[in-house]
Amino acid sequence: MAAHLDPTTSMTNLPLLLATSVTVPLAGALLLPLAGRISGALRSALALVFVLTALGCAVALLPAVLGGSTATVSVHGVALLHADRLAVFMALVSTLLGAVIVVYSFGYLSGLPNRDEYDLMVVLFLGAMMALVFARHLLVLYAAWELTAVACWRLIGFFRKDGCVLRADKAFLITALGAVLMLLGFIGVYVGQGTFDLGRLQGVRLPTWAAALILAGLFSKSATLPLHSWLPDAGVAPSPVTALLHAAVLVKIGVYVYARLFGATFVADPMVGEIVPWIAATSALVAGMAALLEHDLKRIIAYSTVSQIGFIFLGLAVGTPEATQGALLFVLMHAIAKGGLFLCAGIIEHGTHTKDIRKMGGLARAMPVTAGCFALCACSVMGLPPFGGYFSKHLVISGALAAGRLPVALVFLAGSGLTLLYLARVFDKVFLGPPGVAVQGRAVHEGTRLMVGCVAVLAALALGSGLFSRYPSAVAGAVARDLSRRPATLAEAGRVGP
Amino acid sequence: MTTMLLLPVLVPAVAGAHALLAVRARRAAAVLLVAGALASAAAVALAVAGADGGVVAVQGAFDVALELDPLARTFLVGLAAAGVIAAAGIARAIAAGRVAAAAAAALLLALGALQGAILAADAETLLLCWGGALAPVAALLACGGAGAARPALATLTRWAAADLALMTGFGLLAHAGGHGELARLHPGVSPIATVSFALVLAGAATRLGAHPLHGWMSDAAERAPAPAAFVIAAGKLASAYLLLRLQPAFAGPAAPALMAVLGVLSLGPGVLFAVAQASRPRRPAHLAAATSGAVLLALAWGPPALASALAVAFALAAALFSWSSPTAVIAPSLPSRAGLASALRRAERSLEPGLLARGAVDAAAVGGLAIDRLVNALYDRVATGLGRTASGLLRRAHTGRHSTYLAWSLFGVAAVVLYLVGGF
Repeated sequence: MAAHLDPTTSMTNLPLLLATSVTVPLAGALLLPLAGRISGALRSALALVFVLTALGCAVALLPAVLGGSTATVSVHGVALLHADRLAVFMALVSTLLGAVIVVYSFGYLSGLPNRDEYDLMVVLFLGAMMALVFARHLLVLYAAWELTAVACWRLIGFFRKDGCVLRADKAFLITALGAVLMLLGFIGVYVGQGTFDLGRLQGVRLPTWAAALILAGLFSKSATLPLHSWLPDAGVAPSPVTALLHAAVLVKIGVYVYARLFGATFVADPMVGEIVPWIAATSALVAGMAALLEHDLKRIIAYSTVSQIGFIFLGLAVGTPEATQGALLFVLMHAIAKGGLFLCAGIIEHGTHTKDIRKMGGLARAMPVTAGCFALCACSVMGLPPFGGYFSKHLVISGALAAGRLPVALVFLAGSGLTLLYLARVFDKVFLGPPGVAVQGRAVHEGTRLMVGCVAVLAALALGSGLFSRYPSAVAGAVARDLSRRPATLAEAGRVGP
Repeated sequence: MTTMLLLPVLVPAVAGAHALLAVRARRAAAVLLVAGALASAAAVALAVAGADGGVVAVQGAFDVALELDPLARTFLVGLAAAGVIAAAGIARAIAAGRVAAAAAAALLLALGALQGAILAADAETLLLCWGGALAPVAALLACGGAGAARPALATLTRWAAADLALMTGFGLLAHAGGHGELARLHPGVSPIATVSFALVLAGAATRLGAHPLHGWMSDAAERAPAPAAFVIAAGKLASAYLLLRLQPAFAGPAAPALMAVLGVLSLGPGVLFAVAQASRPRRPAHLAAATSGAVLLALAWGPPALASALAVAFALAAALFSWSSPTAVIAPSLPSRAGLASALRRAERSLEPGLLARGAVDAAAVGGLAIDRLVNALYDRVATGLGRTASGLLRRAHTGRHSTYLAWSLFGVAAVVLYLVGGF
């Protein structure tokens, strides 16, 4: 591999950091089953080390990219990976949540079979995610996209029961179908422009049909209506998997690629910016309504994810700096809070052996820390100040209003109302009132210290990211300014394609 | 010095954070609560004495701006006084073990947020501080005693829903006016102004406890009488202040008319329902709803000074009920009243907007779930028809004994693709 320094890069170690952040988890994942044959503890420790390495690289890249530097890794003269503000921001979010979830898995999955493959797939997934966010080449992006689908497929079907396998297949089929459509869109771009290099495609006008194909792929991955149905079904996976894939990282892939392609690279038909908010609004409303009647705890949280992803799409599609900043902040805040909710659901499921909220009740006494953490994370998802979710939601909606999108902003406010109702209902049914049938006569207690500790960290982050929102907000603002400026600047420079 | 304006927000917040350390020590929590409330009152006094009419801007996710005008001064002093009265009552209840020690921190944090709401110079700051009180208020009510958590959650839900209405109202105003500064909001007479005022009124009236948005108040007072007394007092002051602050902006006849309707709805039935109660702690809550009606009528028809005086007086009276909690807990039942009183109690329940709205929410939820089921059915049809082969292959691969190695080989294919891409 011949890594070279981008002309805009001022620090020589940036390409090395970039390459390390992708290759260590990807290559390291392959070692984990071998390590597992020696010792389970060694395998787990290595998995954490690989994820922390990626996180460390992302953290190390952050000051440089915020200062305006970028880094590129090329192989045989083809630029494959590129680190800019948007990519590093997403890499930070993914690996931060990934590290917490890997630690949580130590407690949650202890004693279960298939741990070797679990660790392999989790680390492989995070490596693929890193490759995806840093992809400079559309085919690298596609390959990483498919790799995440494979890892996701294996992880959803982790328990290997018929129901789990069917649902894993469903997730794989829907997202793979979407990926094929997206690939067709990429090929369309290649036919028109003769390159897959995103750097050379900047400012190029995207044909509407190619945009539609790419959007179909994005919507399938980000579980947006009508391609959302795999996400609630994927709740059969172990809770760390649902947290990692379906709240924190996987569904954000679609959002990230939307920001990368439609925000930072191509100039799309303005119709895209008109239609996407309405698709997102419909998705947010329908999923919010469905969550009101659902009884399966993890399905409710999954519907909530479908609903909340709509807010991110709204912010990105509106495209003003304020709305984009809100959308990017939402990515972080939602990942933290929703990851926390899923991990709380894991502790509850672990303790009660059910996901049916009608059989729960009164768990606040048996699981006070989990109840408190659930409440804090739920407050953030609801968008209550001073939790992190408030700032992101406020910025998205006020950005939409400032852009003159009053009707769609009102729909999203209604969606916020639904979020409030279904999360309050879940808290009431699970933690308050008399003990349910799944709790009676059973010594229900908190999860292991490691599990509860991970949840507490995320709950503290949900609150802390709001109290100190200035810092993540500044990073999101810098990324948003990049996104709002880039295509317009290039278009003005006369680089707009046919 | 304008920086003095930060003190009424920061002092109770810092005191609340310290009180968090005493959640397992009742007496320490009680002492910290009283000390924190007194420090907060001192901070308000300093702010009132030292403020020079300027605006303090604090940088955050968005800029926060505070200012102190004569109207805000009255309400800030009233809120600080209500805070001290309620803090003393709740401290007594904490020391006696009737209220959890965590209530000390919750009250102080709520006080800081609500004082911030009164000092807010723009809509964003107002919404941040106004909403910032939600979680502490819910926590305060949940600390009130056995069975208090559910009314606390219901209060949180209703207040948050009201905040969404408020946010929507401000959003419409900002959309129409192009800015969110409270002092410069002049939407004039227009349909959008009426709708936005109705939404702001719905948001404020919920915290004010006006009928028919009062349901949280009586339920909370029944289960957590001492904390509810503070919440009722503080909610009344903050809401009345907000309506007074916005009153000059809404020039048309719609705003006074809407407030008068809510006022009449609250005043008469509030008194009747209070008389009809069979539960002692619910009675002051209904009286508070009636007094909210009086405040709304004063807002609609009287001079602003009368509305201010009524709001502050009724809030201080409501705060005093935090001292009466032992009676409310020891003898919660009043002599049962049959006939008209019973009918009135039933009527009060039917006024509950939660019950009225439940049908609409259920219908919406059924609609959402139906769409989701339809999409699932379509997927099943496609998967079992066109995708049977693919599904079968996938399932075999998934459950096969060597599935791990299959996954490895897929990874290998991806690696080859990546390599080929290098020479593309």
